[in-house]
Amino acid sequence: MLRNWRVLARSFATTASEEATPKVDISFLRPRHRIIAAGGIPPVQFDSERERAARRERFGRYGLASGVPVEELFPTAEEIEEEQAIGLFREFNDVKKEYNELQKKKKEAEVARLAELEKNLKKYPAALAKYEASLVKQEREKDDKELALEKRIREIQEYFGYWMDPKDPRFEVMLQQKEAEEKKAAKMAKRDEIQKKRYAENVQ
Amino acid sequence: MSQALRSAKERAFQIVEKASRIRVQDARDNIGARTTGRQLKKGHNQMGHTQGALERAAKPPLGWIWGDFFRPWQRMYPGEKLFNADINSRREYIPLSLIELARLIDLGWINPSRPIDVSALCATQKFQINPKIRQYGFDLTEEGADSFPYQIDIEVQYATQSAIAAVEKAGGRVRTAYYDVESLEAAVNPKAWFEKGKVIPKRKAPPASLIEYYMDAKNRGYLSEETEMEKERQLSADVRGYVLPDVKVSSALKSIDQVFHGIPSGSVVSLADKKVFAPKNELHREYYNRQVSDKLYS
Repeated sequence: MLRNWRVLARSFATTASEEATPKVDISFLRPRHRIIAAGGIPPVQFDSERERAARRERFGRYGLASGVPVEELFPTAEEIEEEQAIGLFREFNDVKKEYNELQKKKKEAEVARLAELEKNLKKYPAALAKYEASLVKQEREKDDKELALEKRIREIQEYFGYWMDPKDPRFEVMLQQKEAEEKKAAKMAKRDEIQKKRYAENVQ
Repeated sequence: MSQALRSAKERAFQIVEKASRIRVQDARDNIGARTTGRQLKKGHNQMGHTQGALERAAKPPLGWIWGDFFRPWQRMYPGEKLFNADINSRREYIPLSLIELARLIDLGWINPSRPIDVSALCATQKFQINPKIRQYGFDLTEEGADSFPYQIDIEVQYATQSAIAAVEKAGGRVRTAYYDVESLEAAVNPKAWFEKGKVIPKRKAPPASLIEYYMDAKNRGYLSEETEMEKERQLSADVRGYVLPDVKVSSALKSIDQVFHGIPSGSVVSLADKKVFAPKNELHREYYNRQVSDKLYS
């Protein structure tokens, strides 16, 4: 730190007023930063300041006083050409036209679909009647088969005395068992009859 | 049924057949290719406060993922089909409810007598919009629609029907307008933009996928016809059962490629000189008058 700055200031002073307000800079700022702190425009010092973005920023900060021409801020002809050559962005009118066409197509499809629905609706009563007729027929066909099956199931369940799932594999076994027993019973009944007949013959 | 029966090969062929030709617009990074943060130390990736907290302290409730800044859940389940498939391509709109807006006006953050747009909303310092992460502006929601008293002229990027009706019932005007990333960046922080010495960009028209929204008068889209919009205004009043007030907003509308009120796009603003510089030559004038549509993925 500069301790005796007051003395130093006095030694440089030429008038009494200057003596009272010392002019020596004790901030240790570099000249560039001294200028910035005082609200001035620093001179171009670094290579990076010569780059385009930095020059732009310089204009943005200090305006026309920066010495950067306004023309430099706008894209160059080459840049514009390049952007258009890449073709990243489409013309809005084209996109709009495409959109309108798409909407038109969608609307047409919707109208066509509605017309189709209306046409189908006219055919609907006939189609419904036909379908209902087919349902009735199927039911009748089904009835005979189903009745037979139901009868069989009921018989088995009554025979064994409890409910049994007809899909159960044991059901088949039980059915066979029942049939065998019935056969046996029929056989026994026949034998009994013959025996009775014979007995009657013998008794006479 | 038929889809399940088809082989993977057949399905792949069908996809390729249906796909459009590759264009420049399609040339972009793979989804999730670029990330802004990375994990520097293993210790940073704690699912609790520390390892000790994980081992013996009370655990956070089930389903809660502790703030893991380096591996947020968006990146922990990238491209999860159920909820995250379009995480890297979907647009985000910052919700702005009517009650919030009314409060901002009450507290003097927003002047209701001037047009309200992205710049005015961002100048309140109450919202942060980062266009670089696909935040595309504000979504005006209907919370507080029952008692919205201010007659405002607002431009947002998305608005619900109830919110639109609430503003119009109070005698205000709503427009939904699209901002591309560059324009939004300028609009979010105009001072920074001007100080960088950048040219005010021309606002691009919405991409094909968004044109439907902004051309619909029902959404008060800025591309729709004024007469259509008037009809829709009346219709919404009839449907919701209120009388449209006679007072009309007098402030002028922005043109469809304008970012700031009163400053034509394609000009440079010098804050130091308090001047606006517009290009004079034919090349630039033509360039800035050309209406282009934004690309789909930006």
